[in-house]
Amino acid sequence: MTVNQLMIAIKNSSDTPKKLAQLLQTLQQSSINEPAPALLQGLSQTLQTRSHTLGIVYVLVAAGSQGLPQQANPQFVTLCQYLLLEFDVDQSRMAPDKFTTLCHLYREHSILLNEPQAALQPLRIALTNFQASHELITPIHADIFQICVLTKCYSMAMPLLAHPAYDVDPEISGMTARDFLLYSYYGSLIHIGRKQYSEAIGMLLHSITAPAMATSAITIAALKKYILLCLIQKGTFGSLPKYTPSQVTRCLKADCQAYMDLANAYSADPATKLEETAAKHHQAFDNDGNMGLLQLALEAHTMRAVQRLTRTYMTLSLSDIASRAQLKGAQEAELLVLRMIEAGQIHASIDDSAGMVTFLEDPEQYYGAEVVDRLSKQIALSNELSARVQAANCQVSLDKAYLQKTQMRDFGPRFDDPGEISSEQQMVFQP
Amino acid sequence: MQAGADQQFDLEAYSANYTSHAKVNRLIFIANKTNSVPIQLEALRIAADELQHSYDTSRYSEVCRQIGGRLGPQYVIDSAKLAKKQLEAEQKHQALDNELNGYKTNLIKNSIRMCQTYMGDHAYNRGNLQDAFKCYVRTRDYCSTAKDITQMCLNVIKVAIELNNYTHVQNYVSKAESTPDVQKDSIISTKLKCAAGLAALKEKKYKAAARKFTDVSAELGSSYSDVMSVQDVALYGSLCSLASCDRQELKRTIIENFRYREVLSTTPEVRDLVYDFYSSKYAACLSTLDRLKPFFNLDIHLSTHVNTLCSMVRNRALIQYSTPFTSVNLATMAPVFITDVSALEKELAKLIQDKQIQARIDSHAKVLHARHANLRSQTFQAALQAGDEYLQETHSLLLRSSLMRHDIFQRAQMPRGRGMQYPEHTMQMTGPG
Repeated sequence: MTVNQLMIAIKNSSDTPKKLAQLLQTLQQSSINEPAPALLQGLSQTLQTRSHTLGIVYVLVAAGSQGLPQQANPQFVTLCQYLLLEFDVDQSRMAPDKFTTLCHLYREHSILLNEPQAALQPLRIALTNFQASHELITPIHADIFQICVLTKCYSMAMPLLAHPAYDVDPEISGMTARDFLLYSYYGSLIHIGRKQYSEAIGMLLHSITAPAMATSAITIAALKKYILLCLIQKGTFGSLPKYTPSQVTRCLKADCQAYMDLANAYSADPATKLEETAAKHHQAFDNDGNMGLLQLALEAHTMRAVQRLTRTYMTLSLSDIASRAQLKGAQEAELLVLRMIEAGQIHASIDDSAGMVTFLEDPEQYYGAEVVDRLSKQIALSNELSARVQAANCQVSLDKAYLQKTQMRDFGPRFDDPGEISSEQQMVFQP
Repeated sequence: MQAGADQQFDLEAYSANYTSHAKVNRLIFIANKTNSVPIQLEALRIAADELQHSYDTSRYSEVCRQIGGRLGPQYVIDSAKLAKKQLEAEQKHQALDNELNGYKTNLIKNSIRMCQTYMGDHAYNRGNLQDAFKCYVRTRDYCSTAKDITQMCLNVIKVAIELNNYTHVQNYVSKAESTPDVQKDSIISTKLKCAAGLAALKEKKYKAAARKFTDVSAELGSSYSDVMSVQDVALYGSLCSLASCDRQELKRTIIENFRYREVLSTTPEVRDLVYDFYSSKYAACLSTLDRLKPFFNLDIHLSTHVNTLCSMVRNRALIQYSTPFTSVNLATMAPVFITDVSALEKELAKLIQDKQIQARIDSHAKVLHARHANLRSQTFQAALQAGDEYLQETHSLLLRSSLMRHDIFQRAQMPRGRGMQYPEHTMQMTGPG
């Protein structure tokens, strides 16, 4: 098919659903191998974004796949932008995988052209239209998050992260496992950028515990960040949740040795080997781009040591604080204590003339209205979630495959081995 | 253990408490452990005297070699005599073996059991513990009465203790305890308690050990002298109790325990230790403990646990001392614990960090203030945290179930063609942090 024939075919068969279905079939069967400039030229001259969305998507994907990953195509980017700003949602949903592939290509070309910001708005509009509900995760999420991380525009991604997403549906969105991993990995990076560490930990856990038969490099990168964040947030890294796929758990030893060493040195008491371990694996942390998080983890360790002192002492001299928290001197200790008081991490006052710090008890008594507010919010959320779980449970119990399997289990032994009756069944057979 | 205040150790009296292997083992242990040459030689001498007439020729020659002629010609190996002994032992073994084969062909159950036991005894006397253990265990199949079973168990326990195999000790103690009528025979049940206590001590379960030892009565006398003496029971029981029991428990298990009081009276120093501790005379108690420590170190079963137990006793004393006060001046507390203020502060800080003492230290004024945890705040904190965790886990659960329902698994080979390999920047670009 030449460019002209293709354009005409698209143009003529985009008005009724029946014709569109035929067009989809034709496009799926034929491969478009024309050079990109000719395709883009024909497209911009003959087709309109809203009425010919399906055809344009196919042509643009064919054009955009050429030249990557070395050469970006400005004309492709412009045409993509037009399409994403105004397209027919029903037509885009006819080929969700092609549509999301187009978004990936658009992102890659924009990054290559060094203007990722420009892609942000079209992608967000495309997502809003394409996404059936807020709860659906689509591959476009990952594209937007990646650009937000690259341009450090973390706040742009916040509206997307604010809605808890519960569902993936490849039928609607063309989602793949890799898209999901990227979604949670980049999502966590945005949370890290905004210093929301507990949210970031939650996001990372999504990618770590995602069902897997093999481990992806994304999961390993997530695992490394997860260990560091656990150290920052909780002070220890215990173990992964028990529902983590075994392949991922195995990676802890195989691929994250430096991080495990660090975690061990971190939670040892006294942590004499921490600095040494951090220095020893310097290269590994640097290669993974985790130096910043490592630094934060080390700082958190010192702060935690000071926090522990507040539970043990009522007053303590600055020099004693320095020696017990392994700081260089009274001056550094004073600075640290001051910073921590300001951040609300400890409650204390410094007597500068005597060089003494008086630690106070936590003034939070949980009497305020905020506490009630927070509690009721949590209860509401918990109720909502448990309703969802209930619904999911219902859905599973109606599932045909599930019913078949449980039936097999319940009545299996009778067919396999009539001599052996499980205790459960014996109970049933008792008069 | 009788340990005089004048640092002199009366080995003769000490070893008189034990017989057979226990005596020799303890003496050799002391000889290896002590730094003083006279004590070492004395210990070896008594051990050699004990071994001279036994069949344990290899042990005897080993002890003589250690003495190395330092005690005169009386303690040099006489090879002719040794060879004779060995021959005798060999003959006896042969005789027993023949006898056993005879019984086996005729299937006389009781005689087989007896003969196996004799063979075990013989191997035990020869110092061949593994064989003795095997022989004793083999009698198990031929036991017919409850008495046979307890006898077998006691034999096995004795050998297992010497073999340092305390899992067997525990197993056979519970086996013996479950046989009928064993509770009626107070000597046997006392022996079993001693063995169980020893097994618990070796596994560092000090509280369990304390419970077992303090249950022993003075009736034991010298009947278990081939394993341990009453003095040992007093020492082990008191130390373990001091280390692991709080005031009420101590009162119940030792102070008000009349049967155990008799046991304690065999070792006045240890008894004083306990009573000083109970009447809060910590200075006296701790100084006695420090003084006795070198002697404890010479005890074959206790030596590896002495340091742990002593520091546990000390910690418990610190906790008990500070509990009733709302504030304590460290300067008055330090002499009680025979230390200075800064060292005491460190010790207390450690205990507070381990949450053993509910208090905070005013390092400026050197005062310890009791602190009562605000349960209400803690509950709120815990509830909020539990809520957060629930939300996070449930969210994760729903997502995972969605992924599984739609069959989105991370697979080794991607089912779809696109995006097979990573774009280079994906993994290197790690953003902030």
